[in-house]
Amino acid sequence: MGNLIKRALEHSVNRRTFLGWSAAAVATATVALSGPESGLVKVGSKAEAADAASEGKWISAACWHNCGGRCLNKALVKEGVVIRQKTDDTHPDSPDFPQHRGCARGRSQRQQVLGADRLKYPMKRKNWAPGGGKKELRGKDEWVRISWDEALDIVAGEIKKAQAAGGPKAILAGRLDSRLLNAMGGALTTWGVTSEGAWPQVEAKMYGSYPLQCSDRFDWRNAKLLVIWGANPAWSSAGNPIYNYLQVKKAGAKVIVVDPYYSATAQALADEWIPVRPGTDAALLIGMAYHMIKNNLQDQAFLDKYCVGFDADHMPKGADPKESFRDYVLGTYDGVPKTPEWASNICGTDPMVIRHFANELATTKPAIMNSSAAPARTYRGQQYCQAYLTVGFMTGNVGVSGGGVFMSYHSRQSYSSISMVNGGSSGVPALPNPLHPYETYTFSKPEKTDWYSMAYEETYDAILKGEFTLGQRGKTKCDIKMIYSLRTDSGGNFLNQSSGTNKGIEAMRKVDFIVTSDIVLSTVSKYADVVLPECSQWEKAGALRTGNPEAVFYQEQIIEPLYECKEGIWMERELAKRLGVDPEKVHPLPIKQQFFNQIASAKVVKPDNTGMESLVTITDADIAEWKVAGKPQQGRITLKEFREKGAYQVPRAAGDKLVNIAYKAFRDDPEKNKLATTSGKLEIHCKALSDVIHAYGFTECPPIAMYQAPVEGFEDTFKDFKAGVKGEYPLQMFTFHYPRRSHSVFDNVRQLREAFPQEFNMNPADAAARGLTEGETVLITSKWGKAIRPLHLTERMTPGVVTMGEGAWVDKDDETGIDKAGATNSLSGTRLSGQGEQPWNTCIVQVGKWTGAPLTPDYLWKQRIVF
Amino acid sequence: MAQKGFYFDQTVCIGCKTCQISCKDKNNVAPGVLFRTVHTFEGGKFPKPWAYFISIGCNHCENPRCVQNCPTGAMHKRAEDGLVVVDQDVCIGCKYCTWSCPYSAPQYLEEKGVVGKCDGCVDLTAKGGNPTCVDSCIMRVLEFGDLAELKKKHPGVQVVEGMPDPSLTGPSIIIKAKPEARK
Amino acid sequence: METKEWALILFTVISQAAVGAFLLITWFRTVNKDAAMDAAYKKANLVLLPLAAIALITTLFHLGHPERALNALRNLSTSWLSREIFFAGGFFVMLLVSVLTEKTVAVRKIVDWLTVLAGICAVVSMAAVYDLSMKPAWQGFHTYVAFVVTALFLGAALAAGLVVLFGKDHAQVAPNLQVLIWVAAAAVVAELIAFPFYLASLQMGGKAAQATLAMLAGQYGTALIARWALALVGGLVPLMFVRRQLSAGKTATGLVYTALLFVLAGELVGRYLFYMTGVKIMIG
Repeated sequence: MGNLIKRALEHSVNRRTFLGWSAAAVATATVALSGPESGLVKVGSKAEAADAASEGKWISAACWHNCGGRCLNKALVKEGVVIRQKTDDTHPDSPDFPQHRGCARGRSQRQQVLGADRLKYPMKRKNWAPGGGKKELRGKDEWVRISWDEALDIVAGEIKKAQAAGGPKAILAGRLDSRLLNAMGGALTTWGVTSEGAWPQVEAKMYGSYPLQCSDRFDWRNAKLLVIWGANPAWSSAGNPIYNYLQVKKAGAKVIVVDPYYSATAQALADEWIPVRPGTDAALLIGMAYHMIKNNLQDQAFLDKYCVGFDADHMPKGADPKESFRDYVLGTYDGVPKTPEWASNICGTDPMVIRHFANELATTKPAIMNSSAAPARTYRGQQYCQAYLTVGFMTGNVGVSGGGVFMSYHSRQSYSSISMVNGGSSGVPALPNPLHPYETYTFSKPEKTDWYSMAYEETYDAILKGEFTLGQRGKTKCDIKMIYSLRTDSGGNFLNQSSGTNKGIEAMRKVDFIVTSDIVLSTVSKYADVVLPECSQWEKAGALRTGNPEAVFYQEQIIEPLYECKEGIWMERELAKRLGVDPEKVHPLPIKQQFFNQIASAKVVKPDNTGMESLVTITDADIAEWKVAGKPQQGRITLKEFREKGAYQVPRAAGDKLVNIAYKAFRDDPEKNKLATTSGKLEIHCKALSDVIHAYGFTECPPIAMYQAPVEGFEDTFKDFKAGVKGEYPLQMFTFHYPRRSHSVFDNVRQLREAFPQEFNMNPADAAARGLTEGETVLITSKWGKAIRPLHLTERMTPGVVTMGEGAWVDKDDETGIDKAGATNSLSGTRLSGQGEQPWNTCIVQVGKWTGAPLTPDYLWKQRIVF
Repeated sequence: MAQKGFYFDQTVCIGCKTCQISCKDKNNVAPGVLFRTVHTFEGGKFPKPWAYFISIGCNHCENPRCVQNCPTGAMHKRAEDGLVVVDQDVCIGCKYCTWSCPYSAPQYLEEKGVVGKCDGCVDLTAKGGNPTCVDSCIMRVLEFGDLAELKKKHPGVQVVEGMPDPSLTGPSIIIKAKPEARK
Repeated sequence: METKEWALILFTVISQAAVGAFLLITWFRTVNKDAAMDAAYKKANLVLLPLAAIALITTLFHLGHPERALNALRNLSTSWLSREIFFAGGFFVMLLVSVLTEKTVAVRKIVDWLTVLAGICAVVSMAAVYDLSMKPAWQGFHTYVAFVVTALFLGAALAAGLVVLFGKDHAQVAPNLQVLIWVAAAAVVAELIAFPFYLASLQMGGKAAQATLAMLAGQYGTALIARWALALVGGLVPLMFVRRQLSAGKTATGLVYTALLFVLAGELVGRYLFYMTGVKIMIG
């Protein structure tokens, strides 16, 4: 067996020999394949032609990532071997009823699941000992294969020890909720927005709804102007959003893209590209507002009727009339008129372009503005959100057909915010964390006093300094002994994905014990003590997944668990037994039952839009076949059809009854349909926002949109901003979602590395000033770390701004401190701002010559194969 | 014979490389081997830059130099649809075809010791389907079919800036070109 | 860029040398009247025969499937590569027949000239193979010139080596050497004249041709200088000394061998350059 696996990993094998082994393999340990050698269908030779002709079975396969899309992915399984993949072909494709086609990552799913670098056995760090052992070796120690019993005994023992020392507060479970620890009194968790930046509280307080309402995609086609602000759906919302945008353009809308980089989206759709420096979008917007006000282009009637805080005559109750947005823009009291020239000095956009853009936006009706979260992933990110909404309100494009002031990103971008079909509930009862009985991602109750948890950005300092912030209650002491990170999927790689990886490594080397579960040796697992091999979604019973509001996907088991991989549920149940906790309380339902429950409770909108009805018809025979508990029911499609298609997509056509226009009710009758804001109106002046940001205890937020220089923003690239003298880190770096991976997931897949090299992008003028040339390896430094990467020079970059895709797998040399993989968090610092958002896009760096050996393309690098 | 070919709408290609990757999955080829490649071109000057992509597999040329040059006849042009395919049972792995194609369509497969290439997914197209790349495209910018019909349906060009002179081999491709890419 | 073209370097250089040497020796043999010299030519051919065989065998190392090598003969109708293998194989077979028919002189003489013909066809086919690639560096007149020059320059040097090795009588050897030295010199001069035209054609060519030119001027500049130094200083100059010695009535055997080694080295470096700087027309 061992030899066979070695052969499988090291060598090219054809499908026939592979079949030979899998027949011989025992049930729990099948053979993973190295890279692309996992079977072949190619009419190149007779043997392969014969292969192609023989029947296989297409099974709907999970593509489960936090990628900004949700698509149909199918695997061709022949004699138990996955031969290849395909995507949605369940119905003819049209712009009105488009197939859900997977992206380069989805099409590489087979390489990820069956990669040679899958973790195979439970393992521990060679120099780990109770108490931590040689903690400094974390990240570079050897791995020792251990049995499941030994692994679970170690983890259970360490949990007991940590809890004995400091109770539930001694264990950090991080972002991932642990039902096991919650059943034992909870664990330290982290809160704060990652993807959405500073948006949630601004949406909730200024607009009265989180998430914001968005109009149906068919109504987007009525827009005359589409402004895509800080979004690159071509890369960050792979799937249909960019295709939907194309239909908006084809229907006649002019498209303007605002971005520091002339993105893939911009080159495909934009009639105009407005470059802007990262972290300065608020200044650009305020400069535009100035032009609108000076030329009386704002929709004053709309502002008067539907908004508060625009001018002194329409202030919310109790607010100082001097705090109006109009007076701030005009500089009535601070003496600084926020002219396009003022803005240009900060955001870099030409003043004439600012005026022209403001004109275009104010006078083209109806217009849709859609923002992503990227500009809000900055220090004091909420100032962008405030300015964006304010300028949007000034155009009056709220609640009208073809208009919108939207923030929609990820898989719902370009779609309605109302789900037309959903995946139902797994039926697992909630088991909240007693230390933090609230949402974590968008923690909205900082003023409460019954929570004990930290901002995501404060995690490493909490470990290293032994204290963290409890809102207005101030700092609290803590002593974190253990990090527990059992991951249900392949996300949760916080060490790679949270700001300040270098500080994170230091923190990881301080605690006594770290356990993770993983499908590959991702960065967080690389620095752990015990790593448990987790089943991928292809090895689990199945699940329903939703993304955009029009489809739900059925994803079932494709292969048996590889090697000794186990489900996270099994791991926690086994740990519970060792800890004297009832496993039935921790994880009462097997995945198959959860899957069935989701199917049974899935709902779909009625064709006349009068409510929801059951999606799936379930018979007694189905229940018997599934061996689950359930009741028969009548639905729109049979379980068999759902399973065979692998998806249900709500039938759509132009002019159908499912078109909704966001905030139309409010627009039609603002008295009857008040918004859930303090005033019931759109709040340009919003005290509630100021108050809630204050309550988090990090930074202050004025009630109106103002521009205040962010830490590590444009101004900080100067030693003396007024004199124009540049400082030690004169370049602004922002990060983008790269189609090579979904955050850090897939970064190990070689064919994706080959397709998307991890390049460092820079304008040729900035390179010339440093004597740097295309393709050479450069050294990038920041206050927080160093990285080396090949340089790509492009006029698509705003001068003074540089960028790199986020999510590369940290590959740090302890001696030099250099990360040769080019993970952006090796260069970012941890910053506490606003509602605990991660300010990735305010980061300043320097770039220079690299005198060491040049880097080889990383698709040729050795894979992280442990055993 | 109805010559088959590809149509590529460059104007809205987003360079997502799904075609390139789905082709790799379909053909099961190792890193370093690409039967379809998405090439990126950039230029202009900030703040007026431009960028465009070219997605290219085999163009199943009218005068395929790879076929002419192949010493074994393994590389051949099918009479029924003009697709250029390689018989890997006959190929000796001399790589001469890889020197003969200006589009780098034939690719040497180190592990098999023979050449492989885009065959228009004959196993799928013979049954009336599309090649994998076409059906994978997020922006629906690729089409496959009878070249004459594609030409009728889409006005386009055989070459854009960055591509070899089409008179060399007579590629069966129609491209809707971006302004910056027009020769 | 192909990096492992050593099999092709050896094949083309060795087979071209064998063809050139055989051509020259066959010419000498045709006009020769001396029995002892005829025996020397016979021995020389016995050396050329295995060289031709080795050349053919090296091609196998270039193939992904050497066991299918004979498939290479299946497309004689359009493929110059098929023709190259056909004629190179033909050259070897005819040479073998020539050796086997030593005793029936009349037959052998016909066979010898047919062998020469096959050899010439092989060299021309080889050049055509590269001419029809999509690498501007290989297309056009220069590849034909370069391959013929190798055949004559290295062929003459090889023939000279064989003649002094097997020919015992200075009086008989000297006229052969005179001819060989003139042939070698003429070949080198032909290449010296052709080369600037080659560079000029690259200069006028497209991106791929420009890339070749940049490589010759850049990373392969040293190899280019070495190629010419070996040919001229290492090869031609000793041959000129040999010629001077001839008029003094001496056969400078050692210098002949030295020249052969340098000419061989020069041609190998030249062919290495040929392969390494061939840049294909492609997208980009």
